[in-house]
Amino acid sequence: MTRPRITVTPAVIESLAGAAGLPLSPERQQELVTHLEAILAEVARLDEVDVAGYEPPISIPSAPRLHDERAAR
Amino acid sequence: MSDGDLCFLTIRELGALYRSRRVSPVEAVRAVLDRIDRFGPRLNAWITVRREEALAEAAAAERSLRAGEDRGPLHGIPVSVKDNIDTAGIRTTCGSPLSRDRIPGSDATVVRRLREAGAILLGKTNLLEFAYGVVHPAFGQCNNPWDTTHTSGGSSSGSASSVAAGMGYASLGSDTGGSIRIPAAYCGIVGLKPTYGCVSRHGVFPLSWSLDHVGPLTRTADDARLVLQAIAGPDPADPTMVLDTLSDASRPQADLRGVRVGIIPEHAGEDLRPGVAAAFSRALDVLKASGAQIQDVRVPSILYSEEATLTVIAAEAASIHEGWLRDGSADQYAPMVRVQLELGAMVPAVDYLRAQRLRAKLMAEFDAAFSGVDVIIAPTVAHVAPGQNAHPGVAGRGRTRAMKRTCPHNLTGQPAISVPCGTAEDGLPVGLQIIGPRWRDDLVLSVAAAFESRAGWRAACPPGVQSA
Repeated sequence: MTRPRITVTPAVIESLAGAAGLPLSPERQQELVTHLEAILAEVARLDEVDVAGYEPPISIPSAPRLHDERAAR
Repeated sequence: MSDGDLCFLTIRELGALYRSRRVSPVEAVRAVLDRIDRFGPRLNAWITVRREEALAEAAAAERSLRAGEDRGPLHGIPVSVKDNIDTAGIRTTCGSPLSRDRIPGSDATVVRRLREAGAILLGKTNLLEFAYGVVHPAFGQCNNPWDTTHTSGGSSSGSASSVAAGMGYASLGSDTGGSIRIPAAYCGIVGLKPTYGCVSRHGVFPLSWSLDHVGPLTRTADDARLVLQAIAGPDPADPTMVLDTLSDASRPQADLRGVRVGIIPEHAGEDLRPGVAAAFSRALDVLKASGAQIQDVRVPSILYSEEATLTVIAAEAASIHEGWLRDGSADQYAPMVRVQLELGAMVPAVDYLRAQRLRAKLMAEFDAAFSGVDVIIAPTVAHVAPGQNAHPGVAGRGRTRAMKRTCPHNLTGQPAISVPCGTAEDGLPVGLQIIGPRWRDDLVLSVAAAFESRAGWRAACPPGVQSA
């Protein structure tokens, strides 16, 4: 079942960014509105595919880290 | 032989000249460094060049070969690696100010394997920032040697541009949605994305763990085979390595007779630019004349590959970069990279998992398709290399559509190679993508080599970098 199209506002961005711990200025929130609308529309297109019966191809890591991203900072 | 000719030999041809002592590794490295001096700035393909070190390594290779200590086909061959691949003692910038001064303490597994095979590391090549679809202005766009007013693609932009311009015989790149194959197609060379789990990614800065692959960019399929043989194989440091063994990649296939070739109609359709459609049609003629059997195959979920890919990349990349996003460093990213990373933090977990579940469905559909064909082909990209500053990003408003035909195989982990199949609009190259079942890298390489020899299209010195 497809979902209703979401209307993105700066307030929506503020909530989502806040939940993700991202410090975004009001100007930045405004800037992201149309981008988030675009990506959510693309993501929502996946609703058209019936994935029932298919599990995500997850593997359990059993070895050291592939790359320690902290090393780059 | 002129220096220009020397720089466009295959790895096997150069190796034969080494072993017959008609050319030395020092001569080859000098010739390549000379081209880097002449054309490097125009193409902006390099971030770091190891001039003195490469010459010293070439002298050592020369001594070893003369002493009969032969490490195999890559011994003394000048190569490069994309600058998101760790190199001990050599800065690894990822094309970003955030990593500009980082000097790794150890080599990535693939670099260590290249060194063990005797390859000479010329340096590190330019790329899109963190391999995420956009150039950082501090590093600048890498240009296409066929026409320097056009991009070389990305994200392995410098790897493709340098190999196409005769500035090295091979380069390693990374491919998350097409970042080896797309620039290879734009630059008229070969780019191989091996089977997921076949080549170690330890020490390669990730863009998206479950989609990232590492592989070679070369001027021929045989060269790609030689590099793959050197870098493939289990690595305890990479938790995603699969224990399956790669089919014997050392046996080239003599001809295409009886090879069953599948075409996915959605990938051979209306969005192709006329020149690309014509080049693809000519490639089909070559295959048919060589005895290959062409038939349509159905992979219904492929229509959703781009959405699934950008959902997975967005979420995984945001997770990888969350430290920088939160600590006040975000303004150091290129503007569009920052947008993509911030958007990724807002993708719902349930959608990320839906995209992952779609991958499982897509794999099942491809497995069914491969029960009736040996390989599947498509144009690598629907168009030729765009003009400068044409990197609209992977996610968000106005994103690129270049990865439509390449990203499905990141989702499935299948081996896929782009080989040149002529030129199209503006005289720019077109790539033919050949895809095989997982762990049949040997098959895609063999079909690619056979096509290459039949099509008679061998990478030559591109017009934008011919000697005066």
